[in-house]
Amino acid sequence: MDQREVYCIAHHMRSPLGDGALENYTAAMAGKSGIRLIDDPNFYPTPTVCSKFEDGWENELTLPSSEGLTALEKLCCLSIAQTLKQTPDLDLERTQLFLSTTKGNIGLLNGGKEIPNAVYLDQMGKSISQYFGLKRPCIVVSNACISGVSALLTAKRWIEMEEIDHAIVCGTDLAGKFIASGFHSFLAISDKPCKPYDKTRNGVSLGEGCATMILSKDKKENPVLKRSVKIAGGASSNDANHISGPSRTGQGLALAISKAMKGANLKADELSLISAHGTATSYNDEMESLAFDQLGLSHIPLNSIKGFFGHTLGAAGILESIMALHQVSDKRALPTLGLEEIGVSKDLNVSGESIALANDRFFLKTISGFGGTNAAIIFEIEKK
Amino acid sequence: MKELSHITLSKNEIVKNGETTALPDGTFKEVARHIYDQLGISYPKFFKMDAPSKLAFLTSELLIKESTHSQELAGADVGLLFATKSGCMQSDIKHYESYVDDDNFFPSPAVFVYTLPNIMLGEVCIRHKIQGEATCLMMDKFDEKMVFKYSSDLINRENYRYCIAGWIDVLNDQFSAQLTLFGK
Repeated sequence: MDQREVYCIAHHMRSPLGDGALENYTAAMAGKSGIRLIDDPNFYPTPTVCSKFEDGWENELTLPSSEGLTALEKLCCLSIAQTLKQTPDLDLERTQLFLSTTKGNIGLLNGGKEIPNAVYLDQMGKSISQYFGLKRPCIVVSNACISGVSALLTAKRWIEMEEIDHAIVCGTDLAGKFIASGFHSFLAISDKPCKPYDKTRNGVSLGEGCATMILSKDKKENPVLKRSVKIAGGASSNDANHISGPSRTGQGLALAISKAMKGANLKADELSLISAHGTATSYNDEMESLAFDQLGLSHIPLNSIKGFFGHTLGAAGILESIMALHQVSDKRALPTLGLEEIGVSKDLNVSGESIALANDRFFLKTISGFGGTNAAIIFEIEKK
Repeated sequence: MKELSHITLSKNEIVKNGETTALPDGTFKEVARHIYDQLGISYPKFFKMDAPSKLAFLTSELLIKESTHSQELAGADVGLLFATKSGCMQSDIKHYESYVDDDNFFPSPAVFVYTLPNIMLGEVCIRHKIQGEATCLMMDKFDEKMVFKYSSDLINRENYRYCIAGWIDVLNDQFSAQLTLFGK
């Protein structure tokens, strides 16, 4: 069978910076960040910076006929609804939902004998799928921080295999006490807003968000960008080295990237932008610089946007891909907010200022996570 | 695509490629220790693992034991695909208990590191140097068809040499696992 092509025909995201991709992109370009100081023992005993939704955000969500859905599920449904509005003719019989999340409704754990049903990630997926009346079961991907890209690649695979024609891929996570206390125990949370690739970086800033892409076999113009957007290639890999520390060589990430480039039939110089992971931990950022150097990608404009959105875990792969779509189509990279002086051992074309991009066509999104996971995905924006 | 080996683990029995071996009664920890001892391997990391990681590790070991393929799993063209319902729920609860009380607050990295359902795949990757795709799916019940299709795509279209795929689930001493070694 002729290999199908897979397009991103609609997208939406929501973060503390706004509701809608354009709103988020505009806010970030204006230098706004969602990261703020949270002084709330329900989040963590000591004040911690985080890109968190406003207090009481759960009560502001208006979604019809949504009794029984958790706040996080409502957030997903709203994002998915906004995305579906952009593709009103989508054949839902040939559509499947792919959910990316690391901890889902974990905030509902209450120490009781019965584990609340909604805490099971498969149930979260089921609730959202049912809300839209989708007949096919939700595929829930939980692959640590790479989940968002994993979900996009799994959806792409399912379309290429002709199991489905369209996929709604939604990624989300909330930053609550569960995750905050865990990252603090790793000494991996920065005391100030995170500083990706910086000499003085000292950890992540967590973030909250929800991001959705609709993928399709149909080459339709993405209504926000007014050009078609194709997923040209992608791959994931495992370091097979350590369950929480990144590889010291960057080999696993390099492998995922080169598989993706090969699949997209792309040469390094054709890339306009690398939207990297840049979590601002000492090890991750260093590892990335090694991987990019290995592949001769050190000169390609690169950034991490964790300084604007924090590390949004299950949302990250999709949210950051969406932001990259806007940056590349605009030929402007967002600054790597927080970066003042580069502190990784290999050169990177990264800056605390916005970088002008050479072309508005191809970008690479890379991502890594606990469990030794790495993934890379390449998007191709149609020539104007 | 070929099914090279298949194993299921449930209370009181292991069935590998049609042959049944009995498992003793006991807590999951005890049963796991029994299997580990029977395997006769030395792998100190085992004792740090949480229950799902132990189950994933042991089931994979049993799956490939005494097979020609056991030495051939290292590489970028070998993948893992595990589905689970409970995932890392046990570790989630353990971590929860460490932070819920501000007056008795003791989160620990050794516990938190296991609060992701894909860590059990990471442990298997480390053991066999599996460097391809390792994806964790959350399901209510094991969708064997779906996992089979995914594996066949990895092998037929992406040219993977092997894929270990199946179901790993354990929560409070109730455990069930089934894995298949798929190859070309």
